[in-house]
Amino acid sequence: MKYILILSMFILSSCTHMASVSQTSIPAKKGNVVKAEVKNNIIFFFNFSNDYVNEINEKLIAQCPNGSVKGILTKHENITYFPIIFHQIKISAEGYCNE
Amino acid sequence: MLFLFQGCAIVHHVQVGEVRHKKDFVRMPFQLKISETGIDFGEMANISKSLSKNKAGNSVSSIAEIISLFQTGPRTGKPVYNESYADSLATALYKECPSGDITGLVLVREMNSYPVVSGEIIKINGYCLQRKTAKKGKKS
Repeated sequence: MKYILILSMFILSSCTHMASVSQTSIPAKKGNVVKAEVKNNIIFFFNFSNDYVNEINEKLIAQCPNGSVKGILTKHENITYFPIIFHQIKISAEGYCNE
Repeated sequence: MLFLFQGCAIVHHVQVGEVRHKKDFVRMPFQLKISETGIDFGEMANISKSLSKNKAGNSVSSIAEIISLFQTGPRTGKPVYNESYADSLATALYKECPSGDITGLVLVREMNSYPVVSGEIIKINGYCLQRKTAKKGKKS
């Protein structure tokens, strides 16, 4: 029972790691906040393509079609839901739409 | 097998740049990729040690230890032996967009990892702003 408890504590524990952050210049005149994020689920560390990242810009532009997106904060997080078994990579971008 | 193929495509860093909008201009998407081969001598030493139980395995291990003394500081991916492989990035960007009117750059530093070797990649997606009259190809 004790071993099952210890094992389940290990398997069910999840944590988030911040892999990288970047910020572009924040404009003096701040417009509407626009947010976009892309996620990639990884099972047993198998991941063969990172092309999902390309969608993030299109998602930002879609929310601000006739304006410029400035002051973009980009976060790249690695989330472990079940160690070894299931991970998620989350990339989020947040900026201001100036029209 | 599980550990041989683990983490084949790894993202190290992502940066999203500002997206500009100009009246009467269209955004033409482009993608750039530059890469260099990374080699992990530590991994190579471990493999050769486990494959050969003789002196050859030990000497590879010693070489790996010496090389590791010269590799300090934070890093992403496996070591590359051409430190200037990313220097041509700006020139390559201007080739993609000769007007220099570039916007919406998404920079991805990634790695295609295999045992001992890796592909250390810098990928850039962006848009070249072109006048609507000079439009060629797909509009984004």
